[in-house]
Amino acid sequence: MAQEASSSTSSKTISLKTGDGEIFEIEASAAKQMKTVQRLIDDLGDDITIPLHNVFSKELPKIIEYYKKDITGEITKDFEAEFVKDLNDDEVKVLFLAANYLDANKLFEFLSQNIADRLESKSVEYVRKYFGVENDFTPEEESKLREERAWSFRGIKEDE
Amino acid sequence: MLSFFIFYFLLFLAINKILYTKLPLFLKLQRTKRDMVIRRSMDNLPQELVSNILSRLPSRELLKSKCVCKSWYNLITNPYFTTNYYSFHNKIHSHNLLVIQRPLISSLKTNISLLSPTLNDPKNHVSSSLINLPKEYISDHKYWSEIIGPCNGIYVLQGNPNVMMNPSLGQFKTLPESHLIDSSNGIYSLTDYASFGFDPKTNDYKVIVLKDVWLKETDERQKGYWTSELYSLNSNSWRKLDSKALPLPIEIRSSSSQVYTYVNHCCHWWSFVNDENSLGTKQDFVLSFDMVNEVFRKIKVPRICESSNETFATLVPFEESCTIGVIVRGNVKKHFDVWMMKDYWNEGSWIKQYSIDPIELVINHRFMGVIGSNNFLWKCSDDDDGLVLHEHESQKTRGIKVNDNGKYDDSFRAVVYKESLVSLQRGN
Repeated sequence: MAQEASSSTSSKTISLKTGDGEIFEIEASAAKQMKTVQRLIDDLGDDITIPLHNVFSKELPKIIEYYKKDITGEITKDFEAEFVKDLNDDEVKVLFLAANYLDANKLFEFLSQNIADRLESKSVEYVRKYFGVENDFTPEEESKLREERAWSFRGIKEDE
Repeated sequence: MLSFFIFYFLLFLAINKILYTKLPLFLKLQRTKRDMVIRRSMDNLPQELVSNILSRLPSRELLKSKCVCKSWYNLITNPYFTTNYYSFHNKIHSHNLLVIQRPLISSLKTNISLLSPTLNDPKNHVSSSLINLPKEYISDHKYWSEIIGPCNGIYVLQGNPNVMMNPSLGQFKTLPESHLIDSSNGIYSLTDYASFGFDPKTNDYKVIVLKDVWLKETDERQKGYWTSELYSLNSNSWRKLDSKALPLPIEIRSSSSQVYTYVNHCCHWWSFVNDENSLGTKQDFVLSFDMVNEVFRKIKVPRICESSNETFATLVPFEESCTIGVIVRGNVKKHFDVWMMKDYWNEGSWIKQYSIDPIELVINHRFMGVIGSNNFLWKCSDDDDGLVLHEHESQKTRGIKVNDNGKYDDSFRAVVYKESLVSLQRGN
């Protein structure tokens, strides 16, 4: 586990291998931000290619792009808006899961907020499909829920 | 030699054919592997991940989310989720204000708007949206002059009628009239002081009102005397508190008690007692009412103000430190001293925390409240027509525009806005 003394540790890169076999390089300082990767480095050493079974070649470059910007301290609201601008809801979902797997906190919180923003005006049915959950309410339970909801945003009468 | 060549050529063709037919399948398998991993992850999304996303939504969206499926319903209606949501969500979306205003033109219709100042915006832009009120409150004879709160995201509007509300869920509950001061007793009341809070033991929101006492026969006020009444949301009714409950005689200084000061399940008012022995001397107290045990208590205050008449002292809460404090404006020095009780339960622990440098804008204007632990809000009715926010940590002062081009009069009130899942819907 002894780490080789490097003349320029700031330029040390780590090799990551995705679940579909592709290899990407990231800086050691960026790897630190992904706690899962850092744990694997601590266990396996930083000269070995780190295998990431649950992250794929479609997502990893985007994640690397985010942390490349982060280590230079340049993440602004504009950068974040650009980052997700061309992603559809499913692509954000996949990135979110990858950030969770990698334990990349900053990206995780940002994507969690972005998903919340995207879901804000969506229907209940859309949310069910998005999270892959089934409607397990009976019709009676559903009408009771509707009644409960009606109490809000309508106020109550004085003689109730 | 030729057969050797032909053999390898045929082998080459065979391999090509195999790859040609099998490779797409091979690639498809790889794609499917990714899809499977993703499907599995999302289907079994652990509660903390769902909770993390849901806690960022406005509370009205969570009303919808409850209908997604049973496990989501159970997650959202869990009291722990409600408590966590309140602190998590409002930490992310802080600095929003709720403002009540009355239009200038004849009618007294009160508007409630939500102000979201965009932080770090050099032009101090504020986005403002009106809160939709139920039809029954939109009438010339209905108005509100004060707003108190938030307590777990619940507010009380004082006026005609008195209303308890959760604006983030669009819930409004008109409070019944108390009818407890019976004029046949020979007494009536002209002024009242109201506050409200939460009783965690009974999961109840209660409103406490102190009413002054006037004798019908002589039309004179009984100085230092008050009656107290308590409203409970759970029972939707008022009841009179025992007259011995209040440590009388006592006087309330209304100008110092205008900021909702609710900490440790207690409401507070700035008060004083006239010293009967030496003329003119007053002993300042903070009067507190405990929502859980329903008892009053007097908290001694040291000689903070040089002279109670000349300086302006405002009682304020320091929520994060679970204690109370006083903002004192020095008459001559034109700055503000911030005092605090280091230990809420120890009367002798009042200390001066720091001073706020002179802010010319606000010197003569009404102090509106504290946001967080050390951000202060004043009303400023100059040309900019609005509020002034001073952030102690960054030493920055900024204006927040409230009045929309002179449409409203300047008697507005502002409080911190918080999203909350607490429902005012009770069994009754």
